[in-house]
Amino acid sequence: MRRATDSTGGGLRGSVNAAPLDPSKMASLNRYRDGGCSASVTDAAGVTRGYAIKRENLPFAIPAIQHDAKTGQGNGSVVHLTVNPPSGGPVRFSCWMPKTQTPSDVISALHSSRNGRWASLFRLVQRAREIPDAAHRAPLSDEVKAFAAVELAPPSGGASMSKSTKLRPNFDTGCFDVRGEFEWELDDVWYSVEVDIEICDDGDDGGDIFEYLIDNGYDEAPHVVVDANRYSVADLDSVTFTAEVVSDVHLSADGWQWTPAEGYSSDPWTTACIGTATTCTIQIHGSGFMSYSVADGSLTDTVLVYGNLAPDIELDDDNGDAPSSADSTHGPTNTVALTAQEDSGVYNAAKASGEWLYTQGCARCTPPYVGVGTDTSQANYEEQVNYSLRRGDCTDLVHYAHQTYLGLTAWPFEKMSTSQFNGWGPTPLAKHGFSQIDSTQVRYGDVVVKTQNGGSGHAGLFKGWGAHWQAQAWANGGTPATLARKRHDGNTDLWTATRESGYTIKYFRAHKVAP
Amino acid sequence: LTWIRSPLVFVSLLVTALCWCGNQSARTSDDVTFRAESPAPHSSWSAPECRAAIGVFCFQDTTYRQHSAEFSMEAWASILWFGRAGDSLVLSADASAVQTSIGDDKNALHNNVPTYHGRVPRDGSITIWTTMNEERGDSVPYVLRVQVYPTSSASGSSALAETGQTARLVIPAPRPARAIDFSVIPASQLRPGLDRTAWKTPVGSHKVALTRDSLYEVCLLPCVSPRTIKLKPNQTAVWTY
Repeated sequence: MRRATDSTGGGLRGSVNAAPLDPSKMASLNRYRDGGCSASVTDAAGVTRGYAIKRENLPFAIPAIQHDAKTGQGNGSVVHLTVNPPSGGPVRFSCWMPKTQTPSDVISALHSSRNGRWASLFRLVQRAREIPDAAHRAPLSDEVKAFAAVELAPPSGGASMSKSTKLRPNFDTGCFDVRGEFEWELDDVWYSVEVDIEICDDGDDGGDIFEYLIDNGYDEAPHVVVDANRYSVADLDSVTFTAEVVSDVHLSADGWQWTPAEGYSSDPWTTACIGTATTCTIQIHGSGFMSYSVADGSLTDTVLVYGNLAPDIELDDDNGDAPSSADSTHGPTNTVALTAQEDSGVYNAAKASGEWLYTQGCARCTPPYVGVGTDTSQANYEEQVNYSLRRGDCTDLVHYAHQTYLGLTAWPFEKMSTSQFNGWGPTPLAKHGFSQIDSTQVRYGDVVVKTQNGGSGHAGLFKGWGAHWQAQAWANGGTPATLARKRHDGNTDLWTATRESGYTIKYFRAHKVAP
Repeated sequence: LTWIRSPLVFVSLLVTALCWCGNQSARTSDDVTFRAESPAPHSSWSAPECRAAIGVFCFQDTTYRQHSAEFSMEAWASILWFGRAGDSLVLSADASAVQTSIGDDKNALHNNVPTYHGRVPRDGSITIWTTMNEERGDSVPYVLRVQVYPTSSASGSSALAETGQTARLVIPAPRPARAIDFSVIPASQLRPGLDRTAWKTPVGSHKVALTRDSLYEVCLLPCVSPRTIKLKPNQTAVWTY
């Protein structure tokens, strides 16, 4: 039964027994005055669960039901949607939305629908209150009948459609059964989602279940919805997280928390925002979960963001040369600095060794291809480091030159990497036969190391100053084979250690074991 | 897999057009994110002239020092090319080296050189790495000139014919690091029993020389769960694990 009346309930009387309608109940129902949907699922045991969602809390946007200024009559219609999520069976929606909407409007709204709320909805509906089947439901109250009479437009019959409405039929122009299918990505898996839009179908779920749910207090439980503007990042991209607190009452916010994923116990670089603002933009340094909590942690939601950064950015601070076995505690300490003549001898030994084949012996690539087999076309093939064959990287050449000129007795030290040159202090350097000097002291044959702060590096033996007083050094150039690329064997020749922002150039004097 | 987040922005735009009348359904699979490519940083260095012509393609890109992924001071970039068996390729760039996954040119000192001449051994993807001398800085624009000498006149009409358009495909390195390869195959080349190793592609950020296909199958080798992606000109697709 439908009555054109004010849905606020004030002074209304039910039509069945003419009893006055409960104002408080009408006020509660009036929260759905703009429209909304029920969401329900039926599990394998046949138990149906669900709850009612106010229009503004739906994961997809639908316009509000409009009301006639004079009569108060709404223009709502009942539309059934079915969405098949990746798990948990189909979710049925029974919605009140303006009859002016078209199926394509709804599907368009689904296109641009809010991801975080979908995830939340699919999760919440699985543990929502049980809904009796149609045969066991209590009769609808007079209040909800009155409310529906106001919100839902009287059916137009849909018998005749004008030419214009045939071109753009809406939910007021007849019965529909429209199906759509598209795909959503969940992590790295794609799921087909089917949408079935029906009107004039009261069969499957016992009629307008939305009406039953709002009549019986199946309201949406307070919850938090956290979403991100992107779910996968590379190159330290920033991500903006948003949190929505869905609740009819105020809940005190606790704030944001970042928890690293993929087995990392901590992530010192990714820092969640401080405070309780519901928007947070941070730089992501690795995969992890961002959470927002309210009510002392009793309600929280989490979003996972994949930080698809290169594997070594936080795991290995080694540089343009292969990892070195040298450590900072071993090695003779009774050493003396090389003379200028000895330094020259080291330089000349390097240059006399001729062209080097750049290799790190697959220190950065796949071991099966290092120096074995004949399939050198493999992108990650590299020969083994071999000084006698002039095979190595930039610091191998430096090490080779000292070892060759000075001999193993005077130069028993292990090879150092550029990061060790750059990062070690005087004591460990001394134990490995070096001391740092400044640019005013550097001379022919000293070691020049250029490193990106916290990153790659290159090294060579100082020859002199080039244009703009930039150090020139004899160096073995190249790029190692890695997961991402083939080895590049560059020239062994003079290298200019250009000064650049973000890079450090240091100079080192070699020492030999005291005779 | 648990439902965590589903970027609904990926939902196909075809749905609106196709799904609402007559119980029809439409499906597509844009299963990677898309974003506009960032402009290359400004540099006073200018690339050598490359004039596109029939069989000649000029690909502009920028090499970077990829500190996070690499352990070198040399800036480099990669281009993914889909080659036809028997065609000959001549590549060149104003760079320290141009290398391919099907071979390199080397000088008398066995160093890599900025050219490549070779025949494509079989239909497949070819990764082309262009590397800059360290002294040129941390980001260096370049133009890769690709000249194709088709094995037959029919090559130009094959489905693998290049369009000259490019997209970017980012396949991040896995975490924790492990040696993996992917296959990237134009949809027109897919057939039962296909040897995906011919289409092997390393991880990385690749500029992709698009063929006439808009759909490409991407799969972690050995291929168990292939995905079909749509590569759009001037857009970036990012693989997510």
